[in-house]
Amino acid sequence: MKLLSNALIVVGFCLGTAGAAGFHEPTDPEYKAENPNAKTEEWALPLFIVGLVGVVSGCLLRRAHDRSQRAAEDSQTGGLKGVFKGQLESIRDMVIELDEKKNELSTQELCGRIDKMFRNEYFDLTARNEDYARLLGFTDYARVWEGVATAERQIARTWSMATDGYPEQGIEELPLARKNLEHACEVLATL
Amino acid sequence: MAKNGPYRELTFLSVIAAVITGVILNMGISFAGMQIGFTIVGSTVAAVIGFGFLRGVLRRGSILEVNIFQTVASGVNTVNAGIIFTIPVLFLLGMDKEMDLRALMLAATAGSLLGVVIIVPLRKQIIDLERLRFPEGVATAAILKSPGAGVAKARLLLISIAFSATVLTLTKLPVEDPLLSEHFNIGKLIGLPAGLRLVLALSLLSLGAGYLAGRHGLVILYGTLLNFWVLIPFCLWMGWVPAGFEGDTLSSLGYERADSFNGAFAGFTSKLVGVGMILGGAIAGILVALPALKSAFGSLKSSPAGGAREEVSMRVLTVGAGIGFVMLLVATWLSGGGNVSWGTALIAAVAGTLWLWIAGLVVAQTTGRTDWSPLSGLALIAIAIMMGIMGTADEYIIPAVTVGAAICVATSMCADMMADLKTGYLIGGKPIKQQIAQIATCWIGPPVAVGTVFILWSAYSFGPDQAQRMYDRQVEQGTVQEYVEKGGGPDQLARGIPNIPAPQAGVLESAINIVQSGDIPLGKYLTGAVLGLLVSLLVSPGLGVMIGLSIYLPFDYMAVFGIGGILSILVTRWKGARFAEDKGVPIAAGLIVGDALVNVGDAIVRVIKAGIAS
Repeated sequence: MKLLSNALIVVGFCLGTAGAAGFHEPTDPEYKAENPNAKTEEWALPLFIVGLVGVVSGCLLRRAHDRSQRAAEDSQTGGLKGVFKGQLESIRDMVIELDEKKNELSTQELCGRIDKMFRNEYFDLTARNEDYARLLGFTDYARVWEGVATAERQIARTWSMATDGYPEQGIEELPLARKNLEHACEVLATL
Repeated sequence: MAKNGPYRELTFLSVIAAVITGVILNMGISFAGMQIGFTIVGSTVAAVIGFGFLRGVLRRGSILEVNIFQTVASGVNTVNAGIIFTIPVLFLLGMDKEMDLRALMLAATAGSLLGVVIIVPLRKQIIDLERLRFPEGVATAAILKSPGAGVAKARLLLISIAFSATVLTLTKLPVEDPLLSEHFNIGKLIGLPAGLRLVLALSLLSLGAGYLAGRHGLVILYGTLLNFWVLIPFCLWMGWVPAGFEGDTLSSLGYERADSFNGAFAGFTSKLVGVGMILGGAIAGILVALPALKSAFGSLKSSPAGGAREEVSMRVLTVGAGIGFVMLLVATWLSGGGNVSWGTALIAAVAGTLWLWIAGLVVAQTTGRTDWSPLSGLALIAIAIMMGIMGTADEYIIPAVTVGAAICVATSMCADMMADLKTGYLIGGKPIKQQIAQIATCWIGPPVAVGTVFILWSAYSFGPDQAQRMYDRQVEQGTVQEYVEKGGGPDQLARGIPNIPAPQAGVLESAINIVQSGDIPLGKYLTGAVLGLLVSLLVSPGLGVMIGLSIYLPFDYMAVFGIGGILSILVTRWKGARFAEDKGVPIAAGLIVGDALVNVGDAIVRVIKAGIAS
């Protein structure tokens, strides 16, 4: 069904654009003579409308497919929301650990842990942000994700400052990042 | 080893050095832009210069201090795109004596300030929440992070920069037969009809940007193929073609005429439908993002819990917007030369500011997804709106173009600011520091760019009839004999005079003539807008914007961009997402940086050569 819906959207868009290309004064002298008040080419409007119908049909089919796929996902291990919750809590716990051990770690260890978190857990989480936005709706997604994004920036700041030889100043960002991630988890738990 | 003292971020040294760098880049790229028809983005180049100066020469710059350097330098530089796409048209129309320089400076500065203040509230939406990629922002961050990224990544970045720079240099060497061609006509090689374009540009910048854009590259490829492989053949078959090409077919067009046909078709159909799609897509994007935009504006009004303010306050932005608006209003009235009343100037300034906000959002979305922006198309619409408000007679062209210049400057500032904030996000920069630095220095770039255009006009003239104009000047000044001895004539520039065709100004001149004739093809804009709105609302936000953009931009570069996107998808599928990110990003970033460095170097060489010759 996904293939059909995508094909309808692609072909419909092509037809719609082809129709749009005909929205100028007719160039065919015969057609112009028969329709002196025509503002478009003969087949422009029908093509455009068929194209729009194709795009809309394809979108409706695709939404139906996405809905059934989400329902199937939800019936399995906690669904997408469960995945989101698990990923977010895992990152929160890692940052809590980092914050608690910040004075014991060398600069190299600190940067190494942040690098690893960004390449693994944070990467996996942020790679699915569009899925989570669709799942929660943009407003609720924004309430959760604001904390995730701010924490990411604060942790990156820790990395930059530590790399430049200022680890003591860099680790001051970790409690702030922790707070943002804890808040994000709390908000997600209420949704 | 841990260092003492405060961490260096927003410093006097970085700002001053950046301003000087930005001024030099601005002048060089203004000149080059008027020669080649497009400008070169400056963030990556500014980052390399800042890195080399602060960390290499002075041995004291921090990652975040270099970020401030590149933010300011690119901000001072970027306004040239808005200036050289608009103001030169007034010279071509013979209105240079009637122009009010104060009005132009004021308008450009207003645009620069407004561009910064209107885009700041959208940072959270576009960067934090939507997580738009901003390929150039990612490339710049890769440079800044290279000291701590590990030897392997730094090596990949450097090799890639060297490779890209070498390849581009080989296409630019001033020899009769360049070692490498800039374009490869694969269609001609395999015997495709001339009307079915298959020419690829040797643009490693496009390849790198496409890789960083990822699957959005597929959408760009779709738009490009839709125009060149579906729309053009269909319209040729139906006879829906611009004047002068009636009766032509895919085969009969011939390779000699194919380029001029594509250009004419773009002006007749592709650009109109494409810009319509971009607008429809942008409106859809605003509708979808309204709830998040409300929360973004709301968070600006209050300080965040548990920490210092991270963005400039709403009060500062409101004051900045107010100052910018008043400057725009005064510039509109001044530029009218008595033909524009205060009432009309007010309406034009209000409409201009609203359009500026929409255009800024559009450009932030397009550069966020692809690194390309429809600056000239949006400036065109701005000027058409202004002429609609003020009138289409000749006396209203100067104020319309003046406001158009402000809007164009603002939109280029929006795109640059967003890319810089993306870089800041990736390396942990505090947005408020970048925003303060940008607001404090945004007034410097406009007079440099405007001044450069005026200097070029008085020294060399420019435009499609540059040779004729220079010859006529020599006749007026009584120096024609000397000029002819140097090889000059009505059809040929004398030795030492650089050729400055200012192609964008030529396009704008044609567009203004169309607006004055009243023959604006609204149908194509509106149908494009409906399509863009529909796919953006029903399929994916931003889709209309990307397809609209790729429909009218050159096939040669868009196809390569699309190939970069496909490469990213394939590498991810075969080697995994982490490999694609770890290895692919430094390589792609290096391709962008190497290309940009050579282009800027070329611009500086042109300026020096022109200076020596004169």
